[in-house]
Amino acid sequence: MEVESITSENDKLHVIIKGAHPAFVNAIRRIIMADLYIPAIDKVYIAENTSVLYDEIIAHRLSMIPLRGGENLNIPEKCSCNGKGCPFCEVALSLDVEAKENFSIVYSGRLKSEGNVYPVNNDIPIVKLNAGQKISLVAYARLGKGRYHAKWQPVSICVVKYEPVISINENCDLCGICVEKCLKKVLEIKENKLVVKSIWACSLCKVCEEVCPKAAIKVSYNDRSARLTLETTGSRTNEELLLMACNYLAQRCGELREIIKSIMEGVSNGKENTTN
Amino acid sequence: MIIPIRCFTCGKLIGDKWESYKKAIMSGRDPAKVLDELNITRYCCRRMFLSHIELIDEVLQYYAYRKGESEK
Repeated sequence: MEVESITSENDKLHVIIKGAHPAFVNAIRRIIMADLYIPAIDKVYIAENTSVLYDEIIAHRLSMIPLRGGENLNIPEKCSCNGKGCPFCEVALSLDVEAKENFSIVYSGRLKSEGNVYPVNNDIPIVKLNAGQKISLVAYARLGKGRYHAKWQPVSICVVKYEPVISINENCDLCGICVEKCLKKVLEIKENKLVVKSIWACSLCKVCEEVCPKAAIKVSYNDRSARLTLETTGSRTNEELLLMACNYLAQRCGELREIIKSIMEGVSNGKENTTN
Repeated sequence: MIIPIRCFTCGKLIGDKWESYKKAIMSGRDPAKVLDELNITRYCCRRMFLSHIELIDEVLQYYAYRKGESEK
């Protein structure tokens, strides 16, 4: 297995993994989506809310804010408090805003954190207040994973794609129909030759195959090579998520190995006992 | 009511981009170009902007009215 290229654009990261079955890359994808711990607001105590939004809506909006940090927090289920919530597995964020004279928008930047958990962005509107309205609350952020709730899902996009393979044979007479009909603009005529311009843009729709009058083009895929694309929501960087996923997979495989080992030992011991 | 914080479908953070979007639209620019500039590429996220109506601005005005009434 080798990683051919890692490219990032905006919030996205593309990793091309050669020589690995897509099922393996899919394991990493599923771990990123469902099994990595990141912080999100999980409990909200509302002291005062005279805004036009209901408490529940505000609590929901707070929970959707992606949070950075929280690496030193305990996982609630494994914490000494048994998940009830304590300073080791929770961070309080307080919000206290009163619109005195004018209409004002309460942004995520107004959340005051008492630990190392912060909103990824200070410009997320939480609620709008008119003059005289007040909101005062304490929210508790804790670690969780995508399996429990979408607010703990660290990525908005996480996809595995097979490597498309486009083979062009000598029957090609450069009619250019396939170049014109390809929706993703994958093909190109260059120096009297039909060439593939951007292979990963190909969606395997096979329109080129259908329109070719000479049957000179063939679209297939290479199932020993895959591209993983992920786009973080901001709580961790894409690279961090990838490393966390690899560590998690290795840890789970290690656990499985230990279990199998102990079963095998049990079986062989049992055999000895029966023969004796 | 108020711009959702994340895209309903994919979960991308969109709440922070609404104001710059609205400002650009109000100045008469093409929404498609503005969304491209904001890196809103998927159609699930784009519809969040295109179909959103900021109703909270209307609702807030009624609050101001009620407040004036209670002070009498």
